Amino acid sequence: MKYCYEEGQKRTGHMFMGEEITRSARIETLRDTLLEAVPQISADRAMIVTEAYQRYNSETIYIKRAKTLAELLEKLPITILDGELIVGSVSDKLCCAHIFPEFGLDWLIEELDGNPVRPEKRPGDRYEIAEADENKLREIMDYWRNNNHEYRCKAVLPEETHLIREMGVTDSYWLMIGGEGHLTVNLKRVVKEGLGNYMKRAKERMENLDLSEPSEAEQKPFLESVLITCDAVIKYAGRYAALAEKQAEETENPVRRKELQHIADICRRVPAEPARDFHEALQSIWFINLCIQLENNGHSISLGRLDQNLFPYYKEDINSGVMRDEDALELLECLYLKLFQLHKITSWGNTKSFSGYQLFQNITIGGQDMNGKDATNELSYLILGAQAAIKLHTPSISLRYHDRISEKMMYAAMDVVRLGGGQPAIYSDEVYIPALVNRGIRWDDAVEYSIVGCVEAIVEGKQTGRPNGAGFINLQKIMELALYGGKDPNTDICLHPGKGSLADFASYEELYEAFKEQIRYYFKYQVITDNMIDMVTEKGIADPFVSCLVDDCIDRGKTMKEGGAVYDYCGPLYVGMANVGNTLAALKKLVYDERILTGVQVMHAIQTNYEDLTTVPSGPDIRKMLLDAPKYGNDDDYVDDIMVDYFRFICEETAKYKTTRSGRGPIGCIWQPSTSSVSSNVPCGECVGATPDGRKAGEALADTASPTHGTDTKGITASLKSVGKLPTVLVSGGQLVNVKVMPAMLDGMMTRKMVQVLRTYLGNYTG
Amino acid sequence: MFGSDYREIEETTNGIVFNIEHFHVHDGEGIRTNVFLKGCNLHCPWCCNPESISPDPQIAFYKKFCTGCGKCQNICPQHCIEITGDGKSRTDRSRCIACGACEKVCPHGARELFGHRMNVAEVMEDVEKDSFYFMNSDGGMTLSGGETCLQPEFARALIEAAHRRYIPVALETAGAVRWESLWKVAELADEILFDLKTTKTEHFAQVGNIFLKKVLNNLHNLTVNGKIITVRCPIIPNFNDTAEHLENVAKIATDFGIKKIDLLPFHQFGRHKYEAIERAYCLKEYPEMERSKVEEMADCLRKRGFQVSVGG
Repeated sequence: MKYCYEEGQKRTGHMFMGEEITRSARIETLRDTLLEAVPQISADRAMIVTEAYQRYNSETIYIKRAKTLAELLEKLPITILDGELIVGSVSDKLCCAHIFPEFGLDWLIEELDGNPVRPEKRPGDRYEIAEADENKLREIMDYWRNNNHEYRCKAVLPEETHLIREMGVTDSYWLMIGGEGHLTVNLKRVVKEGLGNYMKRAKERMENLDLSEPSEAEQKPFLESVLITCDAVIKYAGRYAALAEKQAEETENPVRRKELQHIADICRRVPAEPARDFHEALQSIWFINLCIQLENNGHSISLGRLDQNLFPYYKEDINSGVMRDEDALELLECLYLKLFQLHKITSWGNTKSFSGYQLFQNITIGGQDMNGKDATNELSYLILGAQAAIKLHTPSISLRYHDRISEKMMYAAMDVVRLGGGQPAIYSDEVYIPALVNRGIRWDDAVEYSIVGCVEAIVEGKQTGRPNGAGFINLQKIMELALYGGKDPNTDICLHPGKGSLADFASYEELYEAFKEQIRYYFKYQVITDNMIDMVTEKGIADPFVSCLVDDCIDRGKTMKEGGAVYDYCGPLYVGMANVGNTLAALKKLVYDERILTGVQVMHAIQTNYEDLTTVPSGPDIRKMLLDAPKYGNDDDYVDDIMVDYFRFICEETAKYKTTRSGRGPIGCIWQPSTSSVSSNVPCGECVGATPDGRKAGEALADTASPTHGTDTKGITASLKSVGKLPTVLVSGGQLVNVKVMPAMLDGMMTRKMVQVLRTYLGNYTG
Repeated sequence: MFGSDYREIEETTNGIVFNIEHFHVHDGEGIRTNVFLKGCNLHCPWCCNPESISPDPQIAFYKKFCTGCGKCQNICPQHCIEITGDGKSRTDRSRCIACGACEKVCPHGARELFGHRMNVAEVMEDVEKDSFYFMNSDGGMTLSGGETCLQPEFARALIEAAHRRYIPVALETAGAVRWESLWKVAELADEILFDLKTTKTEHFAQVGNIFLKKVLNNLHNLTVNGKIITVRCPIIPNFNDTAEHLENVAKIATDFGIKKIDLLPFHQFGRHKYEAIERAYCLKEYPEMERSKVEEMADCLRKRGFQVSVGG
């Protein structure tokens, strides 16, 4: 089909691979419409779920959830916007955030009451709500009170976990009000086999169950739920087929009529049947992900290695002349706009950690094949080019770098980087693949990794474990607790008294050990919290539809949370990495090596936020001395060695723990670290007082594994080399470093030098 | 043995360095680490590194950061700092020995010592840090200044030390020195960035006490000796932004068989440093060179077959 027309093309003035980027009239109109739309909260989903939960109250959780999804797909209003080629949206509102009351509604009602702020008055990520929707939500609030996921989680968690959250050491709250996410289901397989085959497999499995065997009997409700949900999804596609047909009859535009008739054909076929061409494959993928997004409240539901998985469809269409590159680009841009259109609202407290209307829907490109050969293909460039044209924050494009990747791809990526917006993110196979293999993933699967969420590498379609991410661990808060002998100076809570405070430690080793001891304690509670939330999810949410799309849930007759996946890993996100290293280094140098300051002096200085002018040296003087101590990010081994050592300790400490699926089927089932802090370094800093890295009370922490803001003064080469020293191969949950450069750094010849810097960092330093 | 013989030489040969900067991308092939040697025998009014001119270390003072707390006054061994009526510190430079004590105690970063005596080993330790970046980009060390050839022994020792570590070296010089000094350094350099300030004898007299002819002789000698050379021309508005100058540059380059020319438009990035070291700056209000105009000049040269970069 021809989708791309020259008439009305808009020139953007941006260059990509030597050509000026244009947007077709179709894309320009759709993009403007969506950009202008104010995100709205809708009560539609909440009302349908409330009714369904009452109607199916006596069913098993699998059937209850499956039938609820089926009702949603049957009853939610659907639309096809004029010009859309990929169809399927959650509502008749342009940008709509549905409510998931089964996960918890209290936070929203509180916000609607203005505590802390109404959704339309937030400083960022605002949502409007119509009075009618608000009234409906208030009507159902009593039904969900003490009858939701959040409540059930809180009920089982030990008292300490609540205090820990109050102190600001860890935060897993959004796990309680959010569902399964952080995964890519086996889209490649669904596209290839069709959901029909999934139903067939589930049916066969069910027929072969020996119901007299308890371990087999318990699989039955899940398998039944697979049939219900797959059938509902296929019917949902059918609704779009009917709507497209209706619009085709109504439209007076003959070109659009043809498109709509074609869309109707496609929706009648996928996702039930195997996709036959590129358009069908994209539509199939979108229906699947859309329905997962409606099933539960998760985010980071990604699309995997789109350039690899869809290449055969693309190539065949191009070879047979059915489609030109321009048409493929048009389809991709339509898909991106669907991803952009999707919204989910979470509490304002959580939003601060995930700001920017982000649902973290990733598309991975590049990388290598099983033999280490560069896997970049024509579609990789189209995916990148579509991003250059759309220039929106969603989707996130992730480029897999490896030492054999073509210079052409690196330059194409730089063309998109130059546009601003931080796309694409670049990942190094040179460290990610060994990191995954080190955790027990087979080489063949590790090579196929793709990115979900912010930076997390997973084997698509085979791996689960991170519900909606996992908790943040505020490392600098733990450092502060170690300095204060285990007692939080903010709240006076003392859960784990240390053997002394900074005023008492006689040596650096004592200080370091005190920090490690606090880490051990609080990590353990992080594990307890997240694992117990997972247990509640397993019993109370179940996620039948998303589960059936992950191998080998159907064959094992188990949901993901019961251990249905091939691989399973979970893990926390560390915040304030650089602050801890800088704190340890400054104290080691000034207090223990050079003995210029005493622990008592520094203790007093941080307690008074470096503001006491009566001491000698004064507060500001002490701060200056601490700030002048070696800082991470300058290729200085004094502090970098400390960073590496403590980081290795943390990684090993994390990997000691198991997930709730351990021993129930999947490979792995351990905890693994990640340094993706998203935007939580700001709220995490708010609860930490002044610290000996020279940071004043309440200031933001360092983000990700990047150096603390403004302390890496030796330039980008030194900064990246420092980061490259970290044992990133142990950070199998995903390492992140943010680099900001002046646009002039990507001008002309400079691009080449940036690429050389990146190759050194990602390749030689395996950053 | 195995390089240890050189340790003593590297630790005892030293000079005054005023800066080592990583990730320089304009001064030679690839990614470079620039080592700036202090001291210059020219006094170009447009100089953007005025701290490079004096051969001795000197204290820079950033007045806007100063709060007049008096810490520098208390530590100064020469007692040459006082807090003046405007609540800022002031240094009597005639007595300052540039020991740097005030820089260390200043809590606000208002004082900075330009120029440190460093030995070759110390410089190389810093330069070597980026060796992977050099490898991947054909980059290396660039000796810059000041005039590098005013510390010929030190500069040569640095190049030798870099070569022992397989690091290529680019040398930046204005060539306004005795041939013997120039050759002592340039002989080993892998590429030379030759600053040609002007092509008019009477103009050159304004920037140095040396005849332009001698500079051009030096340039010629370098080409005769087979050195790879890029000519770098600062383009100053109303001074040498003329077609005539461009023509002269092209002619010199053609005569000497030089292919690469960098045009460096005049800018004001160095202005604050004049204030900091209390050096008179007569181009303070001078307009910056328009980049587009320099690009036109570059195109002119490109048409004649030169490889030209602007701002390089």
